[in-house]
Amino acid sequence: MPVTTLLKTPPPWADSGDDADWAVVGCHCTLARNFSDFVFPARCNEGELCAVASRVRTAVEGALAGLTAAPPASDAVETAAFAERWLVTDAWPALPERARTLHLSPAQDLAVSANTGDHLLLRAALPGNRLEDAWARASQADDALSALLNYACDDRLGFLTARLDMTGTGLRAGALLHLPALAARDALGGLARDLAAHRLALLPAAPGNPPEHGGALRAGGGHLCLTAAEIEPLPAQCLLSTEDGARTAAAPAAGDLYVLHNTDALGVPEEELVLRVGHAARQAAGLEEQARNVLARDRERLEDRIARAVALARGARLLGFREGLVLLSTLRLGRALDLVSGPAPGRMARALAETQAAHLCLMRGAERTALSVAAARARYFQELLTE
Amino acid sequence: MLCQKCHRNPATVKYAEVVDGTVVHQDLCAECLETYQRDASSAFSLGEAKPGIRPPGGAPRQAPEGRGPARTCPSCGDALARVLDAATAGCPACYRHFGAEIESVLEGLHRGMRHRGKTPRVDDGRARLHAQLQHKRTLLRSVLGLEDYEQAALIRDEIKGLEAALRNSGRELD
Repeated sequence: MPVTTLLKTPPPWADSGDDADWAVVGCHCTLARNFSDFVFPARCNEGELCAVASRVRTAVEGALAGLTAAPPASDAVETAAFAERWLVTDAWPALPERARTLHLSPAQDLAVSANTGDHLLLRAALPGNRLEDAWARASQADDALSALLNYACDDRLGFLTARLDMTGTGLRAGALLHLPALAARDALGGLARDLAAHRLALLPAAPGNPPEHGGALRAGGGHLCLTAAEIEPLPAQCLLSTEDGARTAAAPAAGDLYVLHNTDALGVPEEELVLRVGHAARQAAGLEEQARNVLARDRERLEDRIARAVALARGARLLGFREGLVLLSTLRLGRALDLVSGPAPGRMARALAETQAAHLCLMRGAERTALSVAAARARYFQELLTE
Repeated sequence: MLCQKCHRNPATVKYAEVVDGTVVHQDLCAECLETYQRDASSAFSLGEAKPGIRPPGGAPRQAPEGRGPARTCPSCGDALARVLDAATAGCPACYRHFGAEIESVLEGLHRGMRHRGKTPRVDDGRARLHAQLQHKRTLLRSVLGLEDYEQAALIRDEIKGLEAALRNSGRELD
C-alpha cells in the first residue's frame, strides 16, 4: 500500500464525529517504554537503533495482530507525512531508514513506533475529549507488548524513560484545544496558571520544524499589493508532534490551537492522570463556550472579522501555513456561533491536517517548493468553502 | 550533594529560612544563594550559614572525586552534568549510577517518588537473558573504548547468541 492511500483516511484526532464539543479537537495517550539492555536512542549507534527497531517490529507482529507495518516512505516528504499526522513524533523522520519502524491500526488510532527519544512509543489518538477511551486502547496494547518485551522498570520509580519528566508511568495524556474566544479575551494566562498548579501544561501550538525554520518568504510584494502572503519555508509549513502532543512554543498560538498535557508521571496512577487531563479539557471547553457568548455580544465586529476571513479564504491565490491556521480558526469560530455556513468544525479539523506541506504535496500534487504548496493550500481553502 | 534549587552545581551553603515559625533548610550553591538573597523581601528572613559551611563569596568547595557533575555513566558514557541540565537520562543504568542526583530532579518534577501505576508482566527466563545482554553490551562499549578488538569480537558473538536465545524464547511464548 503506498503512503498516499494511507492519507485518504483522515488522522483520527482530526476526524471529529462529535461537533458538540468543538473546543477539544482531539486527544492522545502516549506511552514511552524502554528496553533494559540498550542505552536510550539518543546514545545508541546506528547498529543499536536497528536492533531496537527489529525487536519492536517482532514484538508488535507477535502481540498485536490488528496492527500492520506502515507503508515504507520513499522520500523525505512521505516520511514527513507520518509526522504531520502525529503517528510519530518529530524525531522520527530524522532517524536512519533502517532504524525506523511504525505499525498502525487500520483506523490509524493506534501507532507503535521505535527510537524516538525512547525505544518504543505507543500512541492512541482519538477525536474530541475521549481520553479514557484512548487510555484503554493504549493500555491494552501495552499489556500485550509487555508480555514479550523486557521493559526497563524500577520497583520504586516505575518505567525508566529518557525524559525524566516521564519517569514512572511513562504516560503523556494530552488534548489539542481550539480556544479562539479565550485567546481573544486574553484569558488564557490565568487558565494556564490554574492548570499549572495541578501539574498540567497549557501551551501554544507552534508550527514548523524550528531547526530549519527561517523567516517568512513574502510572495508578491510591490506597491499594488495591500498585504503580501507570508509564506514560510517548506519545513515550517506543518504542525508536528512530540510526546506531549503538538510541538509548542512560547510564541502566540498558531490558529488559537493549544496543547494541554500532564507534566508529571511519577507517584500518580495512569487513570488519575487521564482523568485530570480530561477534566481540565472539559473545564477549558466550558470557559471557551462562555467566552464565545461574550464575544458574540459584539456581533458587528465579529461578523466583520469572519466575513474578512471568508473573503480571504475564497480569494487568496497563495496562503502560508500560519495564515491558513488563522483563517481556519476564524471560520471555525464563526461556524460555532452560527455566523457562517460551510463545513462543520470536524471537517475543519481535518483541513488542519490536510493543509500541511507533505499532505498537500502527496494528496494534491503540489511541487515541493514553498510557493507551490502555498498555492495548493489556497485552492484547498476555496474548495473547502464550496463544500 | 547537588544544589536543591538548580540541581546542577555542588551545594556549598546550608540555607535556612523561617516559614510560618518553622525553620526550613536547603542545600544551595553559591549562585542560587545569591539569587535568593537578591530576591529577598523585608518579610523574608535569611538564616545564618551554619558554622563550618563555606560562605557564598568563598571559593567553591571541590566535589569529592568521582562524585561531581563531571562523573559519567559507565554504561552509556553520558555525563551527570548533561543529564541534570537536559533532564534526560542516557540509559536505564543512569538511574542507578546517578541515583541521588537524578532523584533530586525527579522530586522537583513529580508529585511522588513511588510509582503507583501499572507494572510490566515479566517472564523470568527472558528477564535473565535481557540482564545478560545488558551486561554484555556495557562490556562491549568498554572494550571498544579500550580498542581491544579481539575481545570485542568475542563479546559480539556472545551477544548474538543471547539475542538468538531471546528470539527463540519469544517464539515459545507465541
